[in-house]
Amino acid sequence: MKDLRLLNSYEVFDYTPSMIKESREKNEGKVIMKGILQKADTLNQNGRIYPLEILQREIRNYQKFIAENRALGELDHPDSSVVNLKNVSHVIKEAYLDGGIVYGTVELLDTPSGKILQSLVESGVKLGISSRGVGSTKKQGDYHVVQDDFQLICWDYVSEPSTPGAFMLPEGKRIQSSELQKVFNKSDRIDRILNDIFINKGVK
Amino acid sequence: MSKTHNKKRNTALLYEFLVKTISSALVENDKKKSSTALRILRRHFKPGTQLYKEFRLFNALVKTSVSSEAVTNTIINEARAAAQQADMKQLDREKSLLIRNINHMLRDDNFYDQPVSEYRTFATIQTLLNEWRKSPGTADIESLAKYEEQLRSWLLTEKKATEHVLSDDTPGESRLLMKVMMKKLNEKYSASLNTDQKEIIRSYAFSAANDDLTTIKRKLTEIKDELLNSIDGYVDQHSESEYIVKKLKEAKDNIVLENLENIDDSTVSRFMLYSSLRHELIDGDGENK
Repeated sequence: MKDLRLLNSYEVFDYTPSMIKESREKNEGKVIMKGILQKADTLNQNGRIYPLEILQREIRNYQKFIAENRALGELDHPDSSVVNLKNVSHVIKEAYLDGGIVYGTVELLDTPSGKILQSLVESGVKLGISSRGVGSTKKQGDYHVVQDDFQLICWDYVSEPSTPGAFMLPEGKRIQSSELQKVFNKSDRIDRILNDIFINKGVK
Repeated sequence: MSKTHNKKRNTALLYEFLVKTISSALVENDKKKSSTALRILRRHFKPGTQLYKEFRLFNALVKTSVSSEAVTNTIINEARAAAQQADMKQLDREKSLLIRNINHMLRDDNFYDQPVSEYRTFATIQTLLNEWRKSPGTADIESLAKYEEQLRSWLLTEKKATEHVLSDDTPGESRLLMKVMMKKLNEKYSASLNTDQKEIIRSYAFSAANDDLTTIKRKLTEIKDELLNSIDGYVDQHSESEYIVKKLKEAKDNIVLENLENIDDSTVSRFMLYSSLRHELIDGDGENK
C-alpha cells in the first residue's frame, strides 16, 4: 500500500489593488486575476519538486473540473483532501502549462471566504497560492520529488510565509485511498483513464 | 546455518538465483541477460544430469507437506537413500561448470546476493544432502540430528501452494518463462491490477512463451467488445454529462479501429488501460455521480 500524503506547494500570487479595481471595471464587478499557480521541476518552499510530466498530466486531468465549473479552492489550506464548500473562496477558470510554469485565471467568489479574500487583495495584502494534492514523495538528496501517484485536488489561497521555508513540512497528513473517492467522483476517474488512453494513443 | 554451507554450491539456490535473474532482466527488458540466464538454466538443469536429479530431490523436500511425524521419518529415509545414489564426482563437476558459466557469462556481481525467501530451508537441505553422502563414520552426527529435526519441522509446516518457483515440471523454456514472468508481475502489481489485467498479462506471457498469439488475441478481442458495450451503456445512462460523453465517444472511435493482427507491448499496455476504463465504467462502487 502506497503511503499517500496531503502535499502542498506555494507560489506568491502578485497583485496590486489597482489591478483589482481594473478587473472589476472590465468584468462587471467580478474580481478575476491571472497569475502563476505553480512551477514544475523547481524546488518549492516545502522542499519538494513537482516533475513536469506529472504536472502536465494533472493539469490535463484538472480541465474537467474547470469545464464543469467546479475547480474550487479555499482560503487557507484545510487539513483535508476534500474541498469544503463552506470555505470556498474562488474558482479557477483556466489553468495551463507554459515553459514549465502553470498559469491560471482565478475568479474570486462572493462567498464569505471569497469576500475576505477580495478584501485582503484590495488592501494590498501579499498572498500566496498553493496547490493541494495527494501523493507520495521520494527523497533525492536534500529534497523530495513528488511521485507518479500524485493527484491534484485544487489550489488554495494562503498567507505568504514570512520566512523562506515557513511552509516546510517533512510530511503531509497521511491520506487513505478511500478518502480520494470523496474527492474524485466516478466520471473524474473515467476522465483520468481516458486522458491516459489519449496520451498513449498520441491523441491531442 | 552450518559454517560449511556454501551458497554457491547449493543447487536450489543456484536455480532460484538464475530464475530471479531471468525475471528481473525480463521486467527490465534486458533480453540479452534474460536469454543468457535462461540458456544456462536449460543447459545445466536438463533431465538426466546430476544437477537435475538433485534439484528434483530438493523440490520434493521443499514442496512436501505432511501432518504426521511418522511420515516425515519415511520421507527423510527415502531422501537419504536417493541422495546417496547420486554420482558425487559428476555432481561436483556439474556444479563447478555451472558456477563457472554463471560467473563468466552473466558477470553479475550481485548474482549470489539475491534474496531468497526460503534461504534457510534450502541451506538446511543442501547441508543434509552433503552430510548424508559422506562415508560412514565421517558425518557430524550432532549437526545431522539438528538439521534432520529442522527438515522434519519444515515437512510438518503447511506450505502456500503458489509461492514456489521451484517446480517439478520439466524446466522447459516456455513454461519457465511464463511462470517467471507471472511470478514477477504478480509480486509487483498484484495489488493494483484488476482481474482482466491479470488475465491479459497471463495470456500475453503464455502467447509469448509459445510464440502463438491466439490466446492473447482472443482475450484482447473480448476486452475490446466488452468495453465498446460498456461505453455505449454508460453514454446511454449519462447523456447529461456532456464533457465525459464527448470524450468517451472519441475514445470509442479509436478503440473500434484497434487492429489485433499485430500485438506487441504497446498494444498490451493500451489494453491494460482499456481494461481499467471498462472496470471503472461498469463498477457500481463509488458511483457518486
